[in-house]
Amino acid sequence: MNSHWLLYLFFAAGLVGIGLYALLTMRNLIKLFIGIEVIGKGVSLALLATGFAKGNILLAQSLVITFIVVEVCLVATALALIVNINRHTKSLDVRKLTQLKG
Amino acid sequence: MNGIDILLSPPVAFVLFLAAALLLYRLGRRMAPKMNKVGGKLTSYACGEDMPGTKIQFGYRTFFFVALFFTIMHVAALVLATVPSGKIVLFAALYLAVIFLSIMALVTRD
Amino acid sequence: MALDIALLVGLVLAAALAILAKDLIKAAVALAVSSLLLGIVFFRMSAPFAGVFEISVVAGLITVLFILTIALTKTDGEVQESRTALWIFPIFFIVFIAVDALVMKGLTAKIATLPAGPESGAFGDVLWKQRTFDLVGQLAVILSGVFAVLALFRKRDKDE
Repeated sequence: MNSHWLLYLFFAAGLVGIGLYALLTMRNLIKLFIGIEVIGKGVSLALLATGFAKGNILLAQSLVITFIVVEVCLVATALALIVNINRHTKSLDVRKLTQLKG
Repeated sequence: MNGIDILLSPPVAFVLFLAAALLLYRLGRRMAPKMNKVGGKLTSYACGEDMPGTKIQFGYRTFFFVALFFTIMHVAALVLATVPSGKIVLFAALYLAVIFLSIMALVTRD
Repeated sequence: MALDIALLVGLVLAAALAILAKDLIKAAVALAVSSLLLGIVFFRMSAPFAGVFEISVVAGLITVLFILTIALTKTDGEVQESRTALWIFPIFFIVFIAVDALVMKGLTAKIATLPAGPESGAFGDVLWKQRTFDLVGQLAVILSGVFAVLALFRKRDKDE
Protein backbone atom coordinates (compact mmCIF):
# COMPACT_ATOMS: atom_id res chain seq x y z
CA MET A 1 0.00 0.00 0.00
CA ASN A 2 2.82 2.35 0.88
CA SER A 3 4.47 2.15 -2.53
CA HIS A 4 1.15 3.00 -4.21
CA TRP A 5 0.83 6.02 -1.98
CA LEU A 6 4.28 7.25 -2.98
CA LEU A 7 3.39 6.77 -6.64
CA TYR A 8 0.26 8.89 -6.34
CA LEU A 9 2.11 11.56 -4.39
CA PHE A 10 4.83 11.55 -7.06
CA PHE A 11 2.32 12.34 -9.78
CA ALA A 12 0.54 14.89 -7.59
CA ALA A 13 3.86 16.67 -7.11
CA GLY A 14 4.33 16.59 -10.87
CA LEU A 15 1.00 18.36 -11.34
CA VAL A 16 1.91 20.98 -8.75
CA GLY A 17 5.24 21.50 -10.53
CA ILE A 18 3.52 22.07 -13.88
CA GLY A 19 1.16 24.59 -12.30
CA LEU A 20 3.99 26.43 -10.58
CA TYR A 21 5.87 26.64 -13.87
CA ALA A 22 2.80 28.17 -15.50
CA LEU A 23 2.47 30.70 -12.71
CA LEU A 24 6.12 31.68 -13.02
CA THR A 25 6.42 32.05 -16.78
CA MET A 26 3.09 32.65 -18.48
CA ARG A 27 1.82 36.10 -19.38
CA ASN A 28 -1.74 35.37 -20.41
CA LEU A 29 -4.12 35.82 -17.47
CA ILE A 30 -6.25 32.81 -18.47
CA LYS A 31 -3.12 30.66 -18.75
CA LEU A 32 -2.09 31.77 -15.26
CA PHE A 33 -5.46 30.74 -13.97
CA ILE A 34 -5.22 27.37 -15.72
CA GLY A 35 -1.96 26.95 -13.81
CA ILE A 36 -3.78 27.54 -10.52
CA GLU A 37 -6.38 24.94 -11.56
CA VAL A 38 -3.63 22.40 -12.28
CA ILE A 39 -2.15 23.02 -8.82
CA GLY A 40 -5.60 22.43 -7.35
CA LYS A 41 -5.86 19.12 -9.18
CA GLY A 42 -2.52 18.03 -7.76
CA VAL A 43 -3.56 18.94 -4.24
CA SER A 44 -6.85 17.06 -4.45
CA LEU A 45 -5.07 14.01 -5.90
CA ALA A 46 -2.60 14.07 -2.98
CA LEU A 47 -5.44 14.46 -0.47
CA LEU A 48 -7.47 11.58 -1.82
CA ALA A 49 -4.44 9.32 -2.30
CA THR A 50 -3.46 9.85 1.32
CA GLY A 51 -6.97 8.97 2.44
CA PHE A 52 -6.88 5.89 0.20
CA ALA A 53 -3.56 4.71 1.59
CA LYS A 54 -4.46 5.27 5.23
CA GLY A 55 -7.94 3.76 5.00
CA ASN A 56 -9.78 7.04 5.55
CA ILE A 57 -11.27 7.30 2.09
CA LEU A 58 -14.66 8.68 3.18
CA LEU A 59 -13.15 11.55 5.14
CA ALA A 60 -10.77 12.36 2.29
CA GLN A 61 -13.69 12.25 -0.13
CA SER A 62 -15.71 14.76 1.86
CA LEU A 63 -12.69 17.07 2.08
CA VAL A 64 -12.19 16.82 -1.69
CA ILE A 65 -15.85 17.66 -2.28
CA THR A 66 -15.61 20.76 -0.11
CA PHE A 67 -12.47 21.67 -2.02
CA ILE A 68 -14.30 21.33 -5.35
CA VAL A 69 -17.17 23.54 -4.18
CA VAL A 70 -14.68 26.20 -3.11
CA GLU A 71 -12.86 25.78 -6.42
CA VAL A 72 -16.05 26.45 -8.39
CA CYS A 73 -16.68 29.73 -6.57
CA LEU A 74 -13.04 30.69 -6.98
CA VAL A 75 -13.19 30.03 -10.71
CA ALA A 76 -16.37 32.08 -11.14
CA THR A 77 -14.96 35.04 -9.23
CA ALA A 78 -11.55 34.96 -10.86
CA LEU A 79 -12.97 34.67 -14.37
CA ALA A 80 -15.31 37.60 -13.72
CA LEU A 81 -12.27 39.54 -12.55
CA ILE A 82 -10.41 38.60 -15.73
CA VAL A 83 -13.33 39.77 -17.88
CA ASN A 84 -13.31 43.10 -16.06
CA ILE A 85 -9.55 43.52 -16.41
CA ASN A 86 -9.89 42.75 -20.10
CA ARG A 87 -12.53 45.43 -20.45
CA HIS A 88 -10.24 48.01 -18.87
CA THR A 89 -6.92 47.20 -20.51
CA LYS A 90 -8.25 45.68 -23.77
CA SER A 91 -5.75 42.90 -23.34
CA LEU A 92 -5.11 39.73 -21.39
CA ASP A 93 -1.45 40.49 -20.78
CA VAL A 94 -0.49 40.42 -17.13
CA ARG A 95 2.30 42.93 -17.78
CA LYS A 96 -0.26 45.56 -18.76
CA LEU A 97 -1.52 45.49 -15.20
CA THR A 98 1.61 47.19 -13.91
CA GLN A 99 0.86 50.21 -16.08
CA LEU A 100 -2.59 50.84 -14.66
CA LYS A 101 -3.14 54.27 -13.22
CA GLY A 102 -6.04 55.57 -11.19
CA MET B 1 -18.60 -6.58 -11.38
CA ASN B 2 -20.32 -7.89 -14.46
CA GLY B 3 -20.31 -6.39 -17.93
CA ILE B 4 -23.36 -4.15 -17.70
CA ASP B 5 -22.11 -2.58 -14.47
CA ILE B 6 -18.84 -1.62 -16.11
CA LEU B 7 -20.73 -0.21 -19.08
CA LEU B 8 -22.96 1.91 -16.86
CA SER B 9 -20.28 3.22 -14.51
CA PRO B 10 -20.01 7.01 -14.93
CA PRO B 11 -16.51 7.35 -16.40
CA VAL B 12 -17.16 4.70 -19.03
CA ALA B 13 -20.53 6.23 -19.84
CA PHE B 14 -18.87 9.65 -20.13
CA VAL B 15 -16.29 8.32 -22.57
CA LEU B 16 -19.00 6.55 -24.57
CA PHE B 17 -21.07 9.69 -24.88
CA LEU B 18 -17.98 11.71 -25.75
CA ALA B 19 -17.27 9.22 -28.54
CA ALA B 20 -20.88 9.44 -29.73
CA ALA B 21 -20.72 13.26 -29.82
CA LEU B 22 -17.44 13.13 -31.73
CA LEU B 23 -18.96 10.68 -34.20
CA LEU B 24 -21.95 12.95 -34.77
CA TYR B 25 -19.66 15.92 -35.25
CA ARG B 26 -17.50 14.09 -37.81
CA LEU B 27 -20.55 12.73 -39.60
CA GLY B 28 -22.16 16.17 -39.79
CA ARG B 29 -18.96 17.64 -41.12
CA ARG B 30 -18.76 14.93 -43.77
CA MET B 31 -22.34 15.51 -44.86
CA ALA B 32 -22.29 19.31 -44.82
CA PRO B 33 -21.39 21.18 -48.01
CA LYS B 34 -17.78 22.19 -48.25
CA MET B 35 -17.02 25.52 -46.61
CA ASN B 36 -15.12 28.04 -48.67
CA LYS B 37 -13.27 30.47 -46.47
CA VAL B 38 -13.43 33.56 -48.62
CA GLY B 39 -14.81 37.05 -48.38
CA GLY B 40 -17.96 37.77 -46.47
CA LYS B 41 -18.26 34.31 -44.96
CA LEU B 42 -15.51 35.14 -42.51
CA THR B 43 -16.69 38.62 -41.52
CA SER B 44 -19.82 39.39 -39.60
CA TYR B 45 -22.51 41.11 -41.66
CA ALA B 46 -22.21 44.84 -41.09
CA CYS B 47 -23.39 46.60 -44.28
CA GLY B 48 -19.83 47.51 -45.14
CA GLU B 49 -19.49 49.68 -42.06
CA ASP B 50 -16.96 49.10 -39.32
CA MET B 51 -18.95 48.02 -36.31
CA PRO B 52 -17.26 48.46 -32.96
CA GLY B 53 -16.89 44.94 -31.58
CA THR B 54 -17.07 45.85 -27.94
CA LYS B 55 -20.75 46.74 -27.92
CA ILE B 56 -21.73 43.28 -29.10
CA GLN B 57 -19.80 41.68 -26.28
CA PHE B 58 -21.84 43.52 -23.68
CA GLY B 59 -24.83 41.21 -23.97
CA TYR B 60 -22.72 38.18 -23.15
CA ARG B 61 -22.71 39.30 -19.54
CA THR B 62 -26.02 37.55 -18.98
CA PHE B 63 -24.50 34.25 -20.05
CA PHE B 64 -22.06 34.47 -17.18
CA PHE B 65 -24.90 34.72 -14.70
CA VAL B 66 -26.71 31.84 -16.34
CA ALA B 67 -23.56 29.71 -16.24
CA LEU B 68 -23.00 30.56 -12.58
CA PHE B 69 -26.64 29.79 -11.83
CA PHE B 70 -26.37 26.34 -13.38
CA THR B 71 -23.07 25.68 -11.64
CA ILE B 72 -24.42 26.50 -8.20
CA MET B 73 -27.59 24.50 -8.77
CA HIS B 74 -25.55 21.52 -9.95
CA VAL B 75 -23.18 21.64 -7.00
CA ALA B 76 -26.01 22.06 -4.51
CA ALA B 77 -27.97 19.18 -6.02
CA LEU B 78 -24.94 16.90 -5.87
CA VAL B 79 -24.17 17.83 -2.26
CA LEU B 80 -27.79 17.46 -1.21
CA ALA B 81 -28.01 14.07 -2.91
CA THR B 82 -25.83 12.63 -0.13
CA VAL B 83 -27.96 13.70 2.83
CA PRO B 84 -28.37 10.85 5.32
CA SER B 85 -31.56 10.32 7.24
CA GLY B 86 -31.97 11.63 10.75
CA LYS B 87 -31.97 15.00 12.41
CA ILE B 88 -29.34 16.32 10.03
CA VAL B 89 -32.11 16.82 7.46
CA LEU B 90 -32.92 20.09 9.23
CA PHE B 91 -29.42 21.31 8.55
CA ALA B 92 -29.84 20.20 4.94
CA ALA B 93 -32.95 22.38 4.77
CA LEU B 94 -30.85 25.30 6.01
CA TYR B 95 -28.28 24.54 3.33
CA LEU B 96 -31.02 24.54 0.73
CA ALA B 97 -32.36 27.85 2.07
CA VAL B 98 -28.99 29.58 1.77
CA ILE B 99 -28.53 28.18 -1.74
CA PHE B 100 -31.99 29.54 -2.55
CA LEU B 101 -30.91 32.93 -1.21
CA SER B 102 -27.82 33.05 -3.42
CA ILE B 103 -29.78 31.88 -6.45
CA MET B 104 -32.36 34.59 -5.81
CA ALA B 105 -29.57 37.16 -5.54
CA LEU B 106 -28.37 36.03 -8.96
CA VAL B 107 -31.80 36.01 -10.56
CA THR B 108 -33.14 39.28 -9.19
CA ARG B 109 -30.09 41.43 -9.87
CA ASP B 110 -30.92 44.89 -11.03
CA MET C 1 -1.90 -1.06 -11.42
CA ALA C 2 -0.67 -0.60 -14.98
CA LEU C 3 -3.97 1.10 -15.84
CA ASP C 4 -3.55 3.43 -12.87
CA ILE C 5 -0.07 4.41 -14.00
CA ALA C 6 -1.33 4.99 -17.55
CA LEU C 7 -4.13 7.20 -16.23
CA LEU C 8 -1.75 9.22 -14.06
CA VAL C 9 0.72 9.69 -16.92
CA GLY C 10 -2.14 10.81 -19.16
CA LEU C 11 -3.27 13.20 -16.43
CA VAL C 12 0.15 14.84 -16.20
CA LEU C 13 0.49 15.00 -19.99
CA ALA C 14 -2.95 16.61 -20.38
CA ALA C 15 -2.05 19.16 -17.69
CA ALA C 16 1.21 19.95 -19.51
CA LEU C 17 -0.74 20.35 -22.76
CA ALA C 18 -3.15 22.71 -21.00
CA ILE C 19 -0.20 24.87 -20.00
CA LEU C 20 1.64 24.76 -23.31
CA ALA C 21 -1.18 24.98 -25.87
CA LYS C 22 -1.18 28.28 -27.74
CA ASP C 23 -4.89 28.26 -28.47
CA LEU C 24 -6.80 29.05 -25.29
CA ILE C 25 -9.79 26.89 -26.27
CA LYS C 26 -7.46 23.92 -26.73
CA ALA C 27 -5.92 24.67 -23.34
CA ALA C 28 -9.36 24.67 -21.69
CA VAL C 29 -10.29 21.37 -23.36
CA ALA C 30 -6.97 19.82 -22.28
CA LEU C 31 -7.74 20.94 -18.72
CA ALA C 32 -11.14 19.24 -19.00
CA VAL C 33 -9.50 16.04 -20.26
CA SER C 34 -7.05 16.08 -17.36
CA SER C 35 -9.83 16.46 -14.83
CA LEU C 36 -11.76 13.67 -16.56
CA LEU C 37 -8.73 11.40 -16.09
CA LEU C 38 -8.42 12.57 -12.48
CA GLY C 39 -12.07 11.67 -11.96
CA ILE C 40 -11.44 8.17 -13.32
CA VAL C 41 -8.49 7.84 -10.94
CA PHE C 42 -10.85 8.83 -8.11
CA PHE C 43 -13.30 6.16 -9.20
CA ARG C 44 -10.53 3.58 -9.18
CA MET C 45 -9.58 4.64 -5.64
CA SER C 46 -13.15 3.66 -4.69
CA ALA C 47 -14.19 7.28 -4.14
CA PRO C 48 -17.26 7.52 -6.40
CA PHE C 49 -18.65 10.76 -4.98
CA ALA C 50 -15.43 12.66 -5.47
CA GLY C 51 -15.20 11.18 -8.97
CA VAL C 52 -18.69 12.32 -9.86
CA PHE C 53 -17.95 15.80 -8.56
CA GLU C 54 -14.68 15.99 -10.42
CA ILE C 55 -16.12 14.80 -13.73
CA SER C 56 -19.43 16.65 -13.77
CA VAL C 57 -18.48 19.88 -12.03
CA VAL C 58 -14.82 20.43 -12.84
CA ALA C 59 -14.67 18.76 -16.24
CA GLY C 60 -18.10 20.01 -17.28
CA LEU C 61 -19.16 23.27 -15.72
CA ILE C 62 -15.79 24.89 -15.06
CA THR C 63 -14.83 24.23 -18.68
CA VAL C 64 -18.02 25.98 -19.75
CA LEU C 65 -17.07 28.97 -17.61
CA PHE C 66 -13.56 28.99 -19.07
CA ILE C 67 -14.77 28.85 -22.67
CA LEU C 68 -17.33 31.57 -21.93
CA THR C 69 -14.57 33.79 -20.55
CA ILE C 70 -12.36 33.10 -23.55
CA ALA C 71 -15.25 34.10 -25.83
CA LEU C 72 -15.88 37.24 -23.77
CA THR C 73 -12.28 38.39 -23.83
CA LYS C 74 -11.55 38.02 -27.53
CA THR C 75 -9.02 40.72 -28.27
CA ASP C 76 -7.25 41.68 -31.45
CA GLY C 77 -3.71 41.24 -30.24
CA GLU C 78 -2.73 37.83 -28.98
CA VAL C 79 -0.66 37.80 -25.84
CA GLN C 80 2.87 36.97 -26.84
CA GLU C 81 4.19 34.30 -24.53
CA SER C 82 7.93 34.39 -24.13
CA ARG C 83 9.56 31.91 -26.47
CA THR C 84 12.10 30.73 -23.91
CA ALA C 85 9.35 29.66 -21.51
CA LEU C 86 8.18 27.04 -23.98
CA TRP C 87 11.49 25.33 -24.58
CA ILE C 88 12.71 25.56 -21.00
CA PHE C 89 9.61 23.64 -19.90
CA PRO C 90 10.81 20.11 -20.81
CA ILE C 91 14.13 20.74 -19.04
CA PHE C 92 12.39 22.15 -15.98
CA PHE C 93 9.95 19.28 -15.96
CA ILE C 94 12.59 16.56 -16.22
CA VAL C 95 14.66 18.18 -13.47
CA PHE C 96 11.55 18.56 -11.31
CA ILE C 97 10.55 14.92 -11.81
CA ALA C 98 14.08 13.75 -10.99
CA VAL C 99 14.22 15.82 -7.80
CA ASP C 100 10.71 14.63 -6.99
CA ALA C 101 11.72 10.97 -7.37
CA LEU C 102 14.79 11.46 -5.20
CA VAL C 103 13.32 13.55 -2.42
CA MET C 104 9.75 12.34 -2.13
CA LYS C 105 10.40 9.17 -0.15
CA GLY C 106 12.58 10.89 2.42
CA LEU C 107 10.13 13.75 2.86
CA THR C 108 7.05 11.63 3.30
CA ALA C 109 8.81 9.45 5.87
CA LYS C 110 9.33 12.50 8.09
CA ILE C 111 5.79 13.85 7.91
CA ALA C 112 3.61 12.62 10.71
CA THR C 113 0.27 11.46 9.41
CA LEU C 114 -3.03 11.05 11.14
CA PRO C 115 -3.50 7.69 12.80
CA ALA C 116 -4.78 5.26 10.25
CA GLY C 117 -8.05 3.66 11.07
CA PRO C 118 -10.50 1.85 8.87
CA GLU C 119 -13.83 3.61 8.88
CA SER C 120 -17.25 2.31 8.21
CA GLY C 121 -20.65 3.67 7.31
CA ALA C 122 -22.05 5.60 4.43
CA PHE C 123 -20.42 8.59 2.78
CA GLY C 124 -23.34 10.87 3.59
CA ASP C 125 -22.89 10.25 7.30
CA VAL C 126 -19.25 11.30 7.18
CA LEU C 127 -19.90 14.43 5.14
CA TRP C 128 -23.00 15.61 6.99
CA LYS C 129 -22.38 14.45 10.54
CA GLN C 130 -18.61 14.60 11.00
CA ARG C 131 -17.82 17.53 8.74
CA THR C 132 -20.86 19.72 9.37
CA PHE C 133 -18.80 22.87 9.65
CA ASP C 134 -17.33 22.24 6.22
CA LEU C 135 -20.83 22.63 4.86
CA VAL C 136 -21.21 25.95 6.66
CA GLY C 137 -17.94 26.97 5.00
CA GLN C 138 -19.27 25.85 1.63
CA LEU C 139 -22.34 28.01 2.09
CA ALA C 140 -20.23 31.02 3.05
CA VAL C 141 -18.00 30.55 0.03
CA ILE C 142 -20.94 30.12 -2.36
CA LEU C 143 -22.65 33.25 -1.04
CA SER C 144 -19.48 35.31 -1.20
CA GLY C 145 -18.75 34.03 -4.71
CA VAL C 146 -22.21 35.00 -5.94
CA PHE C 147 -22.00 38.46 -4.42
CA ALA C 148 -18.46 38.96 -5.74
CA VAL C 149 -19.62 38.14 -9.27
CA LEU C 150 -22.64 40.41 -8.87
CA ALA C 151 -20.40 43.24 -7.68
CA LEU C 152 -17.91 42.71 -10.50
CA PHE C 153 -20.59 42.81 -13.19
CA ARG C 154 -22.48 45.69 -11.63
CA LYS C 155 -23.94 48.14 -14.06
CA ARG C 156 -21.97 51.33 -14.15
CA ASP C 157 -23.91 54.48 -13.37
CA LYS C 158 -22.04 57.12 -15.29
CA ASP C 159 -19.59 55.63 -17.75
CA GLU C 160 -20.89 53.32 -20.47
